Amino acid sequence: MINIIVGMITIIAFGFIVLWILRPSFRKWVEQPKYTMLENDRRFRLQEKGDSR
Amino acid sequence: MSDDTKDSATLRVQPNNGPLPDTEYDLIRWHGHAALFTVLISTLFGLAVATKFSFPTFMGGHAWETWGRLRYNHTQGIFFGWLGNAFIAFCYYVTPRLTNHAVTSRKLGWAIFWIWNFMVVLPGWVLVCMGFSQPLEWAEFPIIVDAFVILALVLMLVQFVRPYFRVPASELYVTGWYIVGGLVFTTFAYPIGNLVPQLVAGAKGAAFSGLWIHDAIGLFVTPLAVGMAYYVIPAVTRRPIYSHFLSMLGFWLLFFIYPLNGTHHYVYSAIPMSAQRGAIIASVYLGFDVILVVSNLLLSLRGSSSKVAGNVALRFIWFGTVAYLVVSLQGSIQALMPVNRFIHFSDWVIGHSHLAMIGFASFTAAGALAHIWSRIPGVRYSERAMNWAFWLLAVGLVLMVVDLTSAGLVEGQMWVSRAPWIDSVRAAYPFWLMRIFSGLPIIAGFILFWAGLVTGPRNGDRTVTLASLREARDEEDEPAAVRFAERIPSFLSYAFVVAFVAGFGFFVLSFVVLGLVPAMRLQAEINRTAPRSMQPLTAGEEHGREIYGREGCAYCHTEQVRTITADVQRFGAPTAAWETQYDYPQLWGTRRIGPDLSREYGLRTDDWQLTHLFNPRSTVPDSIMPGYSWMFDGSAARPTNDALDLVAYIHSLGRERALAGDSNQAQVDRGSAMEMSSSYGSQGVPDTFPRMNTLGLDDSAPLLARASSSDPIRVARGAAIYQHNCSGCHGPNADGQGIAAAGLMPQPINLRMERFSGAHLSTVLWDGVYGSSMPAWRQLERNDLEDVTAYIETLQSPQQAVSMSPSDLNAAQQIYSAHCVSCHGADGSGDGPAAGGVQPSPVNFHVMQPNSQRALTVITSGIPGSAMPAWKDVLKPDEIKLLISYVEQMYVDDKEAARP
Repeated sequence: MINIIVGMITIIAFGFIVLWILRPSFRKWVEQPKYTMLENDRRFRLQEKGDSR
Repeated sequence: MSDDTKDSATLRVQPNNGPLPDTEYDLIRWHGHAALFTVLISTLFGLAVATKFSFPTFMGGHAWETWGRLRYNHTQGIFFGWLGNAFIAFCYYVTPRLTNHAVTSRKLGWAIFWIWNFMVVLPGWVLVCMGFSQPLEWAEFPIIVDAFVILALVLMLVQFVRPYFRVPASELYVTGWYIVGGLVFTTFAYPIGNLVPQLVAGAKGAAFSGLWIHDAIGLFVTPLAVGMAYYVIPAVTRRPIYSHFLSMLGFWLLFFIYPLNGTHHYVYSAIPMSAQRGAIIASVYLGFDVILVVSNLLLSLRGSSSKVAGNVALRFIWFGTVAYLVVSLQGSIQALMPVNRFIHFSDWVIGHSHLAMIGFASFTAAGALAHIWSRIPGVRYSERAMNWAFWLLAVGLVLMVVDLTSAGLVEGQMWVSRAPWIDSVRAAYPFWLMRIFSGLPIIAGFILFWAGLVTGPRNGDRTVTLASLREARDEEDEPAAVRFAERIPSFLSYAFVVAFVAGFGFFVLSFVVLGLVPAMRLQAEINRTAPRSMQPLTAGEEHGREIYGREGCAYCHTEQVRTITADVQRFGAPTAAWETQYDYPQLWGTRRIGPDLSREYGLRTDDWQLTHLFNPRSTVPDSIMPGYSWMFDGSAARPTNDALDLVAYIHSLGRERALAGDSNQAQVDRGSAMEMSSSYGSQGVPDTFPRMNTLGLDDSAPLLARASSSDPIRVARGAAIYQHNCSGCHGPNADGQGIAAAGLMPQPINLRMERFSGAHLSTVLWDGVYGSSMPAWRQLERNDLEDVTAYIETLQSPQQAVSMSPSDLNAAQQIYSAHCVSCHGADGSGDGPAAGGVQPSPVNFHVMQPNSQRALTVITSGIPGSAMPAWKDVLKPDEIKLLISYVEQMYVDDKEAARP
C-alpha cells in the first residue's frame, strides 16, 4: 500500500512540475499569491505606521 | 525557479484601495503574553525535571512534584501554552492580511483565549499535579481537558478558517494554506490521538498513539511554524518569496506524507512490519520535502543577508528554518532501522525533540512574535532585549542538543553491549548534569524575550536611524513587484480544497493506513496466537497500572521488548501483540532511562520492589529513579494500598507470556527474520537473560571463584563493584545492614558471618535466590562477577574447624534427624521432603557455613521471612550447641579444587 501511496505522490508532484514548465499561465496563477501577500502587508504596514503616529 | 524580474514584467498590480479589516491587536497582545508566561512556567518544569536526573531527591517529597507529573506538564505546557498561544496570536495578525477579512468575532476571540488558557493549560497543569492524566505522549492532559481542547479547536476553525473560505485559491498565500490545513487536521487528529488509545488496547492503540505523537508536531506545530516563516520572510525583506509554486508543492507533500510517519516511533515492535516500513519510507520521503521547503525559504532570503543580521525577528526565523532542515533530516535518518536500533529510546531522541520544539518551532514562533510586536501600533518593543534573547536561546539550545545527542550515542553503545543497565545510567550522569546548565540560558533567553515585548520605545516613537531611513527608502522603491495575475482560473478556487483534502482527506488516509489497517491485522494476529487461558489484570493490578501511568513510569521504563538482539539478550522474548490485548491505554513508552519492565514477572520479590519504590537508591545505589515515599506509611515495610497495587501490577508484567510458555513463536520468528539469530533456540532467549532460578541449583552457572581472589587489584575492583551494586542491601560493610535491609524479608545476609563454597557463591550471583530479594546478576560481565566473588571471599568468616567426639556426633545427629531433616534433608543438602514447598530453599550445609554466632542466632530466633522457625523453646542450649557443630562440620570448601 505504501508503495502505491508514494508512487502516487511522486507522479502527482511531477505532474505539477511538468504543468509548471509547460503552461506559463499556470506559473502566473500559482505565483500570484506571493505578490498579493506583499501588497496586503504593505497596506497594513502603512496603516500601522499611521496609527502609531 | 522563480524570477522577480520576469514575473513583475508580466504581472499586473490590481491595487486594493478598499478599507482594511480590523486586526485584533488586544487579542494578539494577550495571547503573546500568555505564550511567554506559559513558556517560562513550562521551562521551569523542564529544568526541575532535568535537575532530578542529577539530583533525584530534588523536589522529591510530595506526589505533585514527582518527575513524571512535572515531565507531563513540561511538554504539555510547551505545546499548548507557549506554541499554542503564539500560533493563535499569529493567526490573529495574519488572517486579516491574507484574507482581507477580519476574524469571525472578537467575542469569540476572548472565549478562545479563556478556554485555551484557563480551561486547558492552567487546569491541565493543576490536574496533572493532582494525579489526573493519561500516559500518552503529547496527550498527557486528562480527558476532561481534552474536551476543552477540542472545543477550542472547533472555535478556532470558526474564528480563523472561515475568513479563508472567502478567498480564491489564486489569492490564498501559502501561510493561509498552512493555517487552514493545520487547524482542520488537528481538530480531527486530536480526539483520535487522545481518545482512541483509551478505547483500543495495547499494540492496536499504540498504532493510533504513534499517529498523534507525530501529528501533534507534524500537522499542528510544523504547519503553523512554516506558515510563520513564509509570512515573516517576505514581510521583513519586502520581497516576494522565491517560489510560491515550490511552497505549494512543499505544502501538499507535507500534508500527504507527514501523517504517515507516526509508526516510526514503534520500529521493531509488534505493530505489523508493513506499517513500520511505510512509516520509515514516509519519513525518508519527508526529508526530501523539507529540503524543498527550506530551500525555498532560504532562497527567499537571497540578497537579504544584511537583514538577517540586522533584524532580530528575521534572524529568529532564519535559525528556525535551518533547525527545521537539520531536525527533519535527523528524523529521516533515525527512522531507518539500522540507526533506530541503536539510538531509539536514548537521549538522542530527547535531543532531537528539543531541536524540533526549541530550535525549529520556538525560534520560528519567537521570530513571528517579534515581527508582530514590532508592527503593533503603540506597544513597547526592545530589539536589544530580543537580540540578547536570540543569542542566549541559541547558545542554550546548541549546548543542549549536542549534549543530549552525545548522551544518546553513549547510551546506545552501552545498551548494545552486555554491560549492566545501571552502567548506562552512570555513563549518562555528566551529560545530564550538563543538560541542567544548558537549560539556564534558555530560560534567561525567554525572560529577555518577554522583556523585549514590554520594554523599549513604543512603536512610532523610534529614533530615526540609518536603518529606518533605509527601510523608508526601500518602501518608496517598493516594486512594482506587487502585481496580480491577468487571469484567475476558476478551478480550485477556494480554501475548501485545502480544508477538505489536506486537513480532512489526508487525516483519513493516515487514520486508515497507519491506524485501522494495522489494528485489524493485529487483531487477526491476536486471535491466532493468544493463549485461550489469558486472564486480564486483577482489580488491584489494574489500579496499580493506573498509578504506573499517572506517575509517568512509562516515560522511563518501556514495556516493549523489541525484536532486536540487544533487547532480547537483556530483557527476554520480544513483546507479542496478544500480551497487550487488555492494556487500556498502551504503556509501551518511547524512552528508556530505567530498564524495560515487560519481563518483570518473577524476577524480584515484593519486598525488593517495595523497598525500591520507597527509596530506589537503597536497592540500586546508583539509581536516579525518584522515590515514592508518599505511597508508604513512613517506611518501606509499611506500604499503602497504592504501593502494593503498583507492585502487583509490575509483577504481572510478562506473567501471561511466562505462563503460556515460550511455545508462541510468532514474534520470535519475526525477530529472527529481521535480525535475531536463531541460535537462541526454542525459547528465543539467550542464556544471559536474568531469569530467576526456581528449581534449585542451576548447573549452568559458571564457576566464578578463581585463583584471582588473592589479587589485591581485582579484590579492590570487586569492592568497588560491590559498593555500586550490592551495598544497598548487604550494607557498605557487608554486614547485611544496608539501607534497604529494613524492608526486606528475609533480611540480606551478613557476608562476614557466612562462608560459601565457590560453586554456591557462583550460583547465587548467577541465578539469585528464589524466594528472597537477592536478584540474579548474570547480566554483569563475567570478570566483574569474578572480582565481586574475590572480594566477598575476603570478607567471609574463616572456615570453622569442627571436631566432635563420636558421642556428640551421635547426639547431634539424633537432634538433627528429629527436627531438621524434613527441610534440610538427611545429609544436610537442603533437599528434605518439605524443601520443595519452602522458599527460599533450605540451606545446603555442604556449600554454606554460618559461623557459630550466626548459627546460634538463626537456630534460636529463626529467620523471619523464611520457613526457618525459632528453636529456642524446643531445644536446650546444649542441644543447640551440638547442632551448630553438627551442621558446621558438613561444609566442604571447594575453592582449593577450583584453583589450578
